Amino acid sequence: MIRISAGSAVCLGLKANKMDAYPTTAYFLSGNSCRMGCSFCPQSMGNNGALNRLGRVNWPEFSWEQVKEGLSRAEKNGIRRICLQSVRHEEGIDPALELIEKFKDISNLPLSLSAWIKDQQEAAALFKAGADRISVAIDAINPEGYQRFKGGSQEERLGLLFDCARNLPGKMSTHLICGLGESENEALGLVDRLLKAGVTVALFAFVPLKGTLLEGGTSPPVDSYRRVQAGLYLLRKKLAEFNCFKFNEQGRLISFGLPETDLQRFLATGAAFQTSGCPGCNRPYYNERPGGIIYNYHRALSASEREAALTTLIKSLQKSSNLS
Amino acid sequence: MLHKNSDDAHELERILEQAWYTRQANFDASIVFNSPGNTVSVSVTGSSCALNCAHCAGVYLRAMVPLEKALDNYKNWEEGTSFLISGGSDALGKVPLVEHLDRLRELAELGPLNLHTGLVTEEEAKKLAGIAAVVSFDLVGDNETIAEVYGLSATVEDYLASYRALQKYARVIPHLCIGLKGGKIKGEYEALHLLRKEKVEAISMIIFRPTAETPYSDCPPPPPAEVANFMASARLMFPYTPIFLGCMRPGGHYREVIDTYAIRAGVNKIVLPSPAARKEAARLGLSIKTSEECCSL
Repeated sequence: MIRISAGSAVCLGLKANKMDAYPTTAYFLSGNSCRMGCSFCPQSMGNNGALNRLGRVNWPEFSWEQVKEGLSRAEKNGIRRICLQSVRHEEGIDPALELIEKFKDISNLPLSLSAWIKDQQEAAALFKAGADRISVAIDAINPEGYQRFKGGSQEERLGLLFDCARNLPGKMSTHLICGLGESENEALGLVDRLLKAGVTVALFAFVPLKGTLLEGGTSPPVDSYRRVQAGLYLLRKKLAEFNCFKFNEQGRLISFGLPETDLQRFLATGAAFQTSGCPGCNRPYYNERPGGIIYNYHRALSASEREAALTTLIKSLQKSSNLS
Repeated sequence: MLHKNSDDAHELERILEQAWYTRQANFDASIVFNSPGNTVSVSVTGSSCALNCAHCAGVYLRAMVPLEKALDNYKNWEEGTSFLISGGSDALGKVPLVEHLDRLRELAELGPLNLHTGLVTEEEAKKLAGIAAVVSFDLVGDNETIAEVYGLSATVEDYLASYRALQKYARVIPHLCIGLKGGKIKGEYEALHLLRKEKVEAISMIIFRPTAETPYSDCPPPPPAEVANFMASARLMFPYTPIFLGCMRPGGHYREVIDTYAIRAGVNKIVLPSPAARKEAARLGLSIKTSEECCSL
C-alpha cells in the first residue's frame, strides 16, 4: 500500500472526484509518521495531525497493483513526473530505495525524491536506484527557525545539500517555507546562495494545519510572499542580482534595485507567481484553499491575475524613481 | 535540440514572447541582415598569438590578411572597403595595435576600421580612438572563464576598466561570447548586469563554436534553448539597445535554430543569416534591410 495525493489519485484514474485543478506530477507519500519532529507537519512524530495528511492535502492509500495500473495512463492524463515524498523512516533510506526501484520497473517518468539522507553516499545510492532529482528539505529559512521548528542544525543540512550539489550538479532541490519567522532578507539571501550552488528551490507559504504545534499560526502576508516569489524568479532567471536588492531594518524587501518599468517587463509573464521547484511540479492548492488567495499558481496566470499579483508587488515596494 | 522538459520549453516560450513584445514596442519592424563581403579581416600579428586561447588557438588568425598585405592590396582599391582589425594577443591579453598605429592610420585612409583591442590602458584607448570607426570589445563577466579560456590572471574588473576607457573616447560595441567557457554559460548574465550600469550603444552577441585544432574542439556549443533564454533576457534588460547576432557562431542546423530564436528574442541585426532566419523574419512581419559590412560598422 502507498499513499497518493488525492489529486494525483484522480489523475491516475483511481478516484473519480471532479476537481478544478489537476496536478502535473503524481505525488506519493511513503511511510506513516516521521522520525523528524517538524512542528508544522502532520507527519511529525511530535504532532497529533492526521497521518493521511501532508501539507493541506489528503493522501488516501492504494495498493501497488492499483498504482501500477494508474501509472500506465499517467502520461495520457498530463502527469510528467513522479514525486516520492518519504518520511524519515527508522530504516533510513532503504524503504525509499526499494520504492524507487519499484517505480522504475513500471514507469519511465522521471522521479523526484524528497527524503532525509544522512550523507552523499546515500544520495548517490538513490540516484543509482533511479531517482532523477533529490530534495533535501531545508523548510525553515533561518537557522533559529530551523532549530525551533525542525530541530537540529540547519548548517549541517545545508552543508550536505551544497556538497551534493557540487558533486551532482543540476540534480538537487530543496523546499523552503516562507512564514516561519524569517525575514525577506534572510529568505532571499538563502535563495541566492542555493541558486548559486545549483540547487533548485521550491518555495512554499506556511499553512497552519490542524493537530500540529503550529495550528494556531498564520500564513505569511501575500505581499511578503509575492516579494520573495518575485525575488526568487529574478535571481533564478538572472534578471537581477541579490546585491542590488534593498531591505529595510526589519529585513523587508523594499527594492529589487530595478526601475519599475524593468520590473514590469521582467515579471510580465506571471511565471514568478507559479509553483516553483522540480520541472513538472505544480502542486495545486498545497498552500491555500481553492477560492482564496493563491500563493503558488498551479497554472499560467490569467491577465487579470498577473495584473493583480504585479500590482500587489509593486505597490508594496519603495517608489523606484530615484533608482536606475 | 530537445528541451530538457516541457516546463523549460514553456518558460522559454513566454520569455521569448515578452522579448518580442519589447522589441515591437521600441524598434521599427525591420531587421538588418549583414553579409560582410566588403569588410576585410586583418591581423596585425599574422597568424601568431601569445595566448592561444582554448576556443581559438590562433586558428582564426590564419584566414586573416596580414596588415602589410592589406595595405598593399587595398591601396588602389576603388570600391568601398572596411577593415576588421584584430590579431593575436600578447601575453597580457592586448592586441598590439598601438605598436602599428602609423600603419593602421594609413589603412584607415582606405576605409573605416573596426578595432578588436583586447585589454587597453586609458592612454592606449585614447590613441586608438583616433583611428577607430568603432571598437569591438569582448567583455567577459567571470574570472574563472578569463583564467581558463585566455589563461590570463586579469579579472572582470580589468575588462570593465578597459571597456570604460574605450567608451570614453570611441564608439564601442561590447561583444559577449555566449558559452565561451567550453560551451557553458558562466559569466554571460553577469556581463549583462555590468553593462546595465554602463553606457552601451549596442551589444553584439557571438556564440562559442567548437573549432578543430583547439583545446575546446570537442566541447559542444551551448544548448540553443539556453542561448535563446540569454538573448531574450538581454532584450528585456536592454529594451532600447540594438542587439546584434555576430558572425562567430556555429553553422549548420544549430545556426538555423539559433537564428530563429534570435529573431524571436528581438535582435536587430544578424550577420550571415541562415535561410531559416529569412523565413522567421518574414513570418513575424519584419522587413529586411541588408548591409555589406560587419555588424559593428
